[in-house]
Parts: sequence; structure tokens; C-alpha cells
Amino acid sequence: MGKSTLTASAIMSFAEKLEDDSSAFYEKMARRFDEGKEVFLGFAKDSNKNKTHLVRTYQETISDALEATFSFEGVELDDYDFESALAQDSSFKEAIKMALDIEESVSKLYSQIAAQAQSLLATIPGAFSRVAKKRSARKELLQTMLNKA
Amino acid sequence: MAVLEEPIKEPLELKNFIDGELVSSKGELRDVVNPATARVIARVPISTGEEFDQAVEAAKEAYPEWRRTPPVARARCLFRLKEMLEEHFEELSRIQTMEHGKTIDESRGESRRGIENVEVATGIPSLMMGYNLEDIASGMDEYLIRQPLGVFGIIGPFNFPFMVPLWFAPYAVATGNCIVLKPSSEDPISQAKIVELADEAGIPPGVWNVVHGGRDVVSAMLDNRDVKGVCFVGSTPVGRDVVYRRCGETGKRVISQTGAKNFAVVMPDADIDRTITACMTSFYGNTGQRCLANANLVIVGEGLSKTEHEAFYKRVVDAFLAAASSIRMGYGLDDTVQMGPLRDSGKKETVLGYIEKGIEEGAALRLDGRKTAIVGDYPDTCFVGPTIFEDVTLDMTIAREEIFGPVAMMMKAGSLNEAIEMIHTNPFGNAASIFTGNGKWAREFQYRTECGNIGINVGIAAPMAFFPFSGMKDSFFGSLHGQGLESIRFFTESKVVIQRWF
Repeated sequence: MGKSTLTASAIMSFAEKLEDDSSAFYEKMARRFDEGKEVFLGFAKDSNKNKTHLVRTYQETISDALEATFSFEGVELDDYDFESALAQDSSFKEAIKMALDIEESVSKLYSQIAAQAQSLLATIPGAFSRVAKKRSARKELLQTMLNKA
Repeated sequence: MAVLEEPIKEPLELKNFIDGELVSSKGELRDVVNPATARVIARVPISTGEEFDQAVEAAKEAYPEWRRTPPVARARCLFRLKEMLEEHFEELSRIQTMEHGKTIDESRGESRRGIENVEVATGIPSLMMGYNLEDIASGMDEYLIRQPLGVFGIIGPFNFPFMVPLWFAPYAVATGNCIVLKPSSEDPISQAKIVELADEAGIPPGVWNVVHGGRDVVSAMLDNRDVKGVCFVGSTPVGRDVVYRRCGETGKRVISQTGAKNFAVVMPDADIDRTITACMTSFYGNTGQRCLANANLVIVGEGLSKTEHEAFYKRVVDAFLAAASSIRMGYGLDDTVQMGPLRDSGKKETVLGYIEKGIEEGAALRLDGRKTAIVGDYPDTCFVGPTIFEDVTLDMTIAREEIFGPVAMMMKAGSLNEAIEMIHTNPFGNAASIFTGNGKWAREFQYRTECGNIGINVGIAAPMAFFPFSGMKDSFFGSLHGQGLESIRFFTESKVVIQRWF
């Protein structure tokens, strides 16, 4: 995708995919590692909620008031895609590091989208900022788990 | 490239929906073609006038019981309809892209705007209330009640096949009337879907009917004495000379929303980046096929020297040009695409004719939409890219007439007063926008401009469902407008009761 052609629809499709992939990733983590199982299941559930929240905000906001030809400049979605598969021989520590990278990447993307969407109706940047904050907050918990491991 | 899945796999054979049943028409079937792919996606019947009259009979029969249905029960049907429209939100949006050509973002926006009208109409127990006054004379009271009238006809346009009929239908039905709706035969699929959802939502047979067709159906609607009123959105010649006139002759109420030629005025203190972003949607959204689209951009030099005005004009036009040049055209279900095709090849021919006319009359073509790349492998039958003319004067055809395509005209005015006068030379009065940070200028513009819908730092002054969709001069014929409280008044008669008890 070119830099100047990310429509709201493209951004939303990608955000939905990210939350689906995140949910799948943490479900795998919960199955693999008893340690932190509840936290991982909580993250998986929360990603489903994030997806609902973002899609609902978009679908309830989009109208001709949301600029239809608006494009998100300089956002390279490919840079934020991640592999949700967990290698068979991944250790707990390696898996947590992977999760930290994912959270770093996703929260960075959402913050970037929120900043770019400032000229749109406030609900769109607001929704992305909120989810970015939630995803960023996961890092603290993951870091604590990593330190203890 | 990410092309979303098409919800229509095989061509649909559409039928009329009369008295709660899908009914085959005796009329010929016409192809409904996806303008981006050139594939036939449905066949729509061109029904006869008699078939329309049969639908009116069904509506008349359903009316007495529907009228007696308590408003709160009618509202519940609309609540269910709203829920069903939400459940089918994505499918209905993709259908709009397939039948019309607009981008998926635009279709979702249209779905939202349509659903909002259903939401507003669910408030009918409050909206339909009358008013009263005790002691208008000693011991006497007076009150007003609103009563439905019977059967209404609705004629939908091609440019917003989902939303525009919903400016009227939910209010008509909520107030206790029955309707016969004729969708545009160019893109009738979403209305065919909505009526089936309305049926599933529990709206009784005969209350919400759909008859597909063309002129014969319109003529039958205008001639039928049992049709109490008609809602029309379309061109000025048809809306004024046919619909409005004929409704007058047959004693019908009428909302006739027609053509436009809208101006956007950019003042020297405008936030250029945000103005240009808003202008892209306004001038090129829905590929310019929108009665609220701006077409003439007037860059004002109020308080500037001639040199400063020239520099400001250049800055705005250059930014406009850069933004318009980067718009990607293609199939609207490809969500990297920002602008879709025109609805059909005839409309493309019309737009190309206007571009030729602009060149012929001496305007300077800065961006030529005739030479635009299309994303993906699609025929260019209906595509015209963003087009920009400079050196446009008010007497030119492209500045006066509604092109209904992605063509922008750049103009200059020395002052806000001159800009408003320019707007007033045009016979239309649908919408106008001003971009400024100055409240005094904005108020002056709002106060004086003879247009029904005014945008202040807003490119598309589209009223929300709880406000009337206004229009003036050659853009509107009638008294009350669609949407909101005005439509409640349109669909009801005010009955006054004066009482005294001995």
C-alpha cells in the first residue's frame, strides 16, 4: 500500500486484524504457559473488546462529516504486522519478549493513527488513543513477568 | 490491494414488494450494472402504472389499521428495523458500492446517515405530540393533534440509493401513513433489501411497499388521487416542471429537492490544510454526484493587496491541485481507493461534455480528469478523475450549471460581499460553505447567503437526521423539508379541537 492511500476503511481493516491476531496470540500463550495464564486470557479478551470498540466508533462516526477522501500519510502498515504463531520451542522468556514487541508496535501504530486523525471528528482519534493507552499499559505487566522469570 | 468480498455473487432478479409479498412485474427487466466492473449485478423490472396503482390499493387497505396502531407500537417496529439495519450494516454498505460505484467508506457513511433517520423516527411518540391551551375563552380549551393522511409516494435518486429514501420513509410510516417507494432503477438493490428487513421487523403488509420502475411509475404516482403527497429528490427540470407542478394540480403535498451549484468561499485567514482536506471530500466525494458537493471555489482577498491576494490564491490552488492529484481512483470495494466511478457511462459523457465546454469557453484546465489512472484492472467506461479549472468566470457554462461530477472551478473575489453576490447570481440555493477563523465574516455569510444549508468550516453542509434538509431557490420546491420535525409536519395534518363542556 502506498503511503498516501490509506483510507479510513484500510486502517480499520488492519486494526481489526491486529486485534484478532493479538487475541489469537495471547490465547496460545495461555495454553502454553500456566504461569501468567490469567493475564494472557485477560489480554485476549481485551483485544476482542478493543476490536468491537474501534469498529463501533468508526461505524457510528463515519458519515460525510468524516472526510471520505481522507488519507493517513506516512503510515506503513506492513511495518506493524506481526506473526501470531508461537514457535514450539519458545521459552516463556522468549514469548514474553515477543509480546512486549507486539505491544510496543501496536501502541505506536495506534498513537500514530490517533495523531493523524486529529482533524477528523474527535471520536476517532479518541478511540485509537484509548486503545493505544490500554495496549501500552500491558507492557508494564509483561515487563514485571519478564523480570520475575 | 485489498478488494473486499462482494455480497452479490450472481445477478439478482428484483421484484416489487407489495402487500408484504414479492411480486413479479409484467414490465421489462433492465440490467443493473456495477459501474466499476461493468458486470451485471441485478435485473430490475420497469413496472407499469397499473402495478403502482395496485400497490396504492394495498397501502390504502393497510392504512386504517396501521393508523390505529399506537405510536409506541409503530416505534417498536422501527427499533427492530434499526437493529436489523445495524446487523446488515456491512452487507448493505457493500451493496451500495456495487450498485452505485462509491467507495466503501462513502457507502458506510451513507448507511450511517440513513440509519440515523430510522433512529430519529423511533421517537415518534414524542415527535408527534400536539399542544394545547386551557381557557382560550372562559371555560373553553383548545388543542392540536397531528393525524396521518394516508398513502405517500417516495421517488429515490441514484446518487444516494440507500440514504435518501430514508429521509422520508421512516417518518411517513412512524406517523401512521403507508408508503409506495420507487427506488432509482439505476441502483435499486439496497431499497429492495431494506423493504424485506422492514417486513421482518414487523411492519405489517401493505404499509411499506416498493415498486421498481421509471417514468410510468412516476406518472402513476403523480396522477393517483389516493396518493396524498410525494417526496422527490432529483433534477430541477423534473422536480419543478413535472413533480411540483403535477402535485399542485392533483392537490398533493410535495417535497421536491432538486439540483445545485454550490460555492465554497475561502477567506484569507482560513486554515488552509484543513480547508483543503474538507474540500477534497466536498468536491470529489461520491465522485461529485452529491447535491451538497461544492463545485465553485471562491478565493477571497478581503483586506489584502492585489499582490497578496494573488499569492493567497496561488497557495490555495496549488494545495488543492496537489491534494486532488493524489486521489486514487478505482473500484470502491478496494479499500485503498478514494474515489469511485460515475454511476454510468452516460453520466461520464455528460461530465466530459462539460470539460470540453469549459475549455471551449476559455477556462484553463489545470487538472485533466480525462486522463486518470485506475487502480486495478477495470474498464474505464464510467471513470473520470478529479478535474480543476482556473480562470473561470460566472458566465461560463461550467460555473453556472450543475455538472454532477468531479470538476472544480477556481475563482477569485475581492471581498466577502463580492463572493456572496457571486453566489446570488446562481439560480440554485442548496448549499454554500465558508472557510474562515473570523466569526464576523462567518455570521455575515450565514446571514446573507440565500442557500438552505450553510457550512462554516464544513465542506458538506449535510443536516443531521434531526434537522431538516433545507434548500432554496431552484434547489427546492415545496414548503416543508425532509428529515426531523419538518417531516413530521409534512406527513401529518394538524387538527385543532376547541372544546367546551356544559
